[in-house]
Amino acid sequence: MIQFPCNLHNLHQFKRGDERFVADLDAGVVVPINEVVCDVLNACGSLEMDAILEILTDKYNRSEVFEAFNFLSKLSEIGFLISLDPSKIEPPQRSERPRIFLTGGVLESKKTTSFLLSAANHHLLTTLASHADLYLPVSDTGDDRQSIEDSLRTEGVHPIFFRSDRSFSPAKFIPKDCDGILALVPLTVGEQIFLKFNRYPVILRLSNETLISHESRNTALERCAALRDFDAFACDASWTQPFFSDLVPDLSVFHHIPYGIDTSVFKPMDKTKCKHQLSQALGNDAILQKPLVGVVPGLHPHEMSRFLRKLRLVNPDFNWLVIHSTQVGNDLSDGDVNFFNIASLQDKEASPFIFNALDALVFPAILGSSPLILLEVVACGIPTVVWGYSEPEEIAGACRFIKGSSSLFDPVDLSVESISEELRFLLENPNEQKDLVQAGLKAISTYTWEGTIQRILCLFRDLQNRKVHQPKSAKHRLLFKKHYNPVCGEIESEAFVQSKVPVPVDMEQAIAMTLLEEHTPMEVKTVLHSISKEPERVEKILENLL
Amino acid sequence: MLVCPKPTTHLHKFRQGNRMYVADISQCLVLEIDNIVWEILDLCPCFSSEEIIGRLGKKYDSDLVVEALNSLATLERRGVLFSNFEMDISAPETEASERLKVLVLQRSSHTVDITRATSGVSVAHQNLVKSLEAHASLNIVGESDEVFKENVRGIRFQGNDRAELLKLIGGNYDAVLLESHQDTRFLSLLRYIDAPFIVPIYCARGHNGDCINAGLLWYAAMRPFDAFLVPTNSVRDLYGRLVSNKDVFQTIPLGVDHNKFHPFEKQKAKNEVARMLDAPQVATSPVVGFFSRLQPEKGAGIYVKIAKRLPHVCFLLTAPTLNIYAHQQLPPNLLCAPQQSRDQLARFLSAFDVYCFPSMVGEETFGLALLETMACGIPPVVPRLDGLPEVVGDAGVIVPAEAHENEIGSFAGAVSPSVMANAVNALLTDEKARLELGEKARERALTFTWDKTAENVITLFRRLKETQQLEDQYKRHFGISFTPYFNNRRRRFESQSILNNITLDKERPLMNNRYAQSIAEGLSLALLRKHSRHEVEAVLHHLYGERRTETILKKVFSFEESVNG
Repeated sequence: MIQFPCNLHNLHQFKRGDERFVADLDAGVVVPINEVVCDVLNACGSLEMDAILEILTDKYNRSEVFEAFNFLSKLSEIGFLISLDPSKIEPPQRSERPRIFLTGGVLESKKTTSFLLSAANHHLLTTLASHADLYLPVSDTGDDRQSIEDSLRTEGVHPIFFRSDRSFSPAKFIPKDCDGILALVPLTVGEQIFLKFNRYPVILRLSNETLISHESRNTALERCAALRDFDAFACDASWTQPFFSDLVPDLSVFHHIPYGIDTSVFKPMDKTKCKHQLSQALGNDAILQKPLVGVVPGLHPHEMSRFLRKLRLVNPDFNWLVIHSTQVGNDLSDGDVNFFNIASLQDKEASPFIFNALDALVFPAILGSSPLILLEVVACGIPTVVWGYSEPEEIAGACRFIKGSSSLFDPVDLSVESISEELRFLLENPNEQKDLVQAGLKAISTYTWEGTIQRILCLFRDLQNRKVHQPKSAKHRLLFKKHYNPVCGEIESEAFVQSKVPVPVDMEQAIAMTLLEEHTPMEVKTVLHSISKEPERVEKILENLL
Repeated sequence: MLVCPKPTTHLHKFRQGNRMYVADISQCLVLEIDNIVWEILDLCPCFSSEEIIGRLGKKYDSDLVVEALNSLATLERRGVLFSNFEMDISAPETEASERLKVLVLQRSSHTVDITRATSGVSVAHQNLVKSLEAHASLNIVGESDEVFKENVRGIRFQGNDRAELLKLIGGNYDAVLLESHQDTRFLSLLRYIDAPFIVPIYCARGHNGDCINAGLLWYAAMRPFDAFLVPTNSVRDLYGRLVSNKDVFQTIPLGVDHNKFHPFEKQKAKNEVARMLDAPQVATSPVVGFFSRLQPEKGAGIYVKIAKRLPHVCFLLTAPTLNIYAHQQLPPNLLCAPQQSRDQLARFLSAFDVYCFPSMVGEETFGLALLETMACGIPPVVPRLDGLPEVVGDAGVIVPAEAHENEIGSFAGAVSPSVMANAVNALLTDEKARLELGEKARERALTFTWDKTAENVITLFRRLKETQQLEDQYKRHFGISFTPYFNNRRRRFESQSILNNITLDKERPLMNNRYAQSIAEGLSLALLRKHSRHEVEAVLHHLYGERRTETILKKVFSFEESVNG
């Protein structure tokens, strides 16, 4: 199939009676054409396939247009009318401000702006909008259009309203000279396909806290498999990448782009005052009597409640406050354990006070726990006990770290004893507390929203460059056939490249070659590993092809 | 120098920028031209060359005009701008719609002389094409654009010129007929010409596997509306063992020209041969005939052995050469006639009392020589191999033979000389039975005519065209992705493919968002975007063996079937 918009040769159309012809002056041929082909030729120099279809399906039926596409693609294959050489296509003119198309959760869901209400995304977008033009598709449900428009009214944000009753194709709305696509989870199937079959670099924001279940981890693997050479994963936590390292061939697709911390909001405050406020809010005096330890969940709810029960049993002299950033697992609160959900913006305003009421924080640096809470708590000058696979880079040297032996899909090793030990040590040693807090505050000062945005824009630039330098994947005309082996009288299969002289190709390699035209290297690798018995050969084949 | 006046209705002149071009619609070519040629083209439909020189000589140097006319003449010789190809542009489509427009792809020229042909393939093809003339308009590829008859024209196609290919693509054919499946250089045309292809297999196996492999090559590339033409079910059965889609093999028996091949008075025929070979015993003894190339594959060795076993009988053969048997002591009762021209052949064949054809070649897909002999009223004795029994039916003696699973050399079977000799002898000694069987052979042969073959081919073309029209104009393909995943129950990483419920046109036809399935199934669906079903069959066969392939194919194809309406 031809890539639209395409490079047309120097053409001249003319009519003879009722017959239409087009003369290709570059190739020196005359081609008899029909009306549909004529219209497609007039459109395809500047329009995308979707747009051509949209325009022409009023006049012809869809199959006629496809027939015309098919005819033109046959001709282009033998070098007529349309040039297959993409080199003439000009790289998009860079505007002063980069243009970024935003997708994720907004395109097809009815709750259009829920993700915008998430505090972190809100920060991300508003800061990004001060550096780039953001194009944000929003489903137009009719009634609340005004309120959505109000909530999006930030300079640099361009909402694109689309009618949700029609099938939505992002390809139609994406601006021509777009510099890239920033995809925020959750993604719908349509979006996922769109991310794979467009020609812009994609940065997929991988949020650690969404990786709490097996299903979502498998989904992340799937997304990872769909990344092209000029796409990237942007993880919010430094500890996400190691979990995937065994499964991902190229770790360079992972980029750690941390959240920013607004240190004018998250800062050490008067602890006693905050504790009083919290106790009032919760209607619970007991908070004032024992040290208050915050716990961030990162485990499955049932594991989490077992863990909390054990913690409480071993440390009856502490109060516990569970801090959540997602909606799940409200069943955790029971009598002695207090529970806070800080998912919404409104709660977010209260969170500096809540954090400042803590005496320490227990944080699991594992999949499913949001790094944002850790950073915000540390910014409030709270000492932390962290357990996980490796010490989080974000606050390296600024926490008490316990190494657990967790891997991606195994049950988390919950060493309640060592966590309790560390907690006690921390609360009994004010000097250690002071050192940690100071180191923490210093580390946090490097995390600004400005920095986050700069990293994202820088990554987009890298991806753009990578895309420009990407050699166009060669298209091969491959034929798979059975072959009769006269020696044993048996049927074998073979593949070859169809050219003047057919060149035989190794079967696995041919499968890889044909898949690579539309699938990502990671996908091809998955297939090859599944069909081949020799892993070394798979590596060699891929190395040769890429 | 170009001889004018010349028609220019097929030419179109235009300017682009400050350059001038002329488009030759009939040849699908564009040439850049200069002022003089532009003006010559204006004048040349009405004026003679001299007049043109006279008129333009005032404006340009007349030498330049002559030079331009000369270069136009050079182009004319190459068939450009002024070819003898008649304009076909306004061909009334509706009037001719009853008749199929068939493109014939053949290696030999249309005018090839088959009177001395020794290959059944070209005899069969030429006869078929000739009979098709009555039912269809034929365009036959060859060396030049020439008109043979009102509805038979040649099309210049050498296979390496893109403009020629373009002409074929724009030809709007209803059907394409090949000469032989061994012509794989036409394979790539399947990609460009949307009409149904019929690919005959006149030669099923042999040639070191080349025949089967050429067949498998076409099979891989075939679209759902193409078919193989096989002359007997034996070919279909042979290939049916190798591929899973047997429906592409359509059996259409060949024919025989009954004007040429009919019985002559036997004694008279024998006398003539006796005179020709200066061998009076032909006129007086029973005659067992052999009419084929004298090669081991065709059973020459067996035939000689049978001759040795029946010394009282005259064994008469006609062949282009004696091959290795020229250097061996042949039995005195074996007489060799030179090759007979096809016009004379029936007269010669009529001298046979029995036709003995112990071929073991495995490429007797039909046995055209056998049918021609039967048409002359000669009872045949043949081994039970390949397509021979289907042609003979009950009108001859079929001797038991053993077919090999795969061939050695080109041999696909074995027949015992003594069993064959006994059968021949039994027929020679029972005159009544022999004459009856000869009559039967003649009657059976009468049911095979080239006209019938041509009608069957036309019917098949029409059916394939219907299939093509029922085929979807474009297929919906789902977005398939491949990914590792953690199987929580088995506690290990596995691979899966995901069928995303969204077609590449961004439609969502299924119920759920995504469906997981095996890599094999996903791979098949992904390959089907660009490769034929038969190619997917080859890939799966390689990866998963024959049994699993069938299961996967069934699942995948039935899924695909129910998606595209």
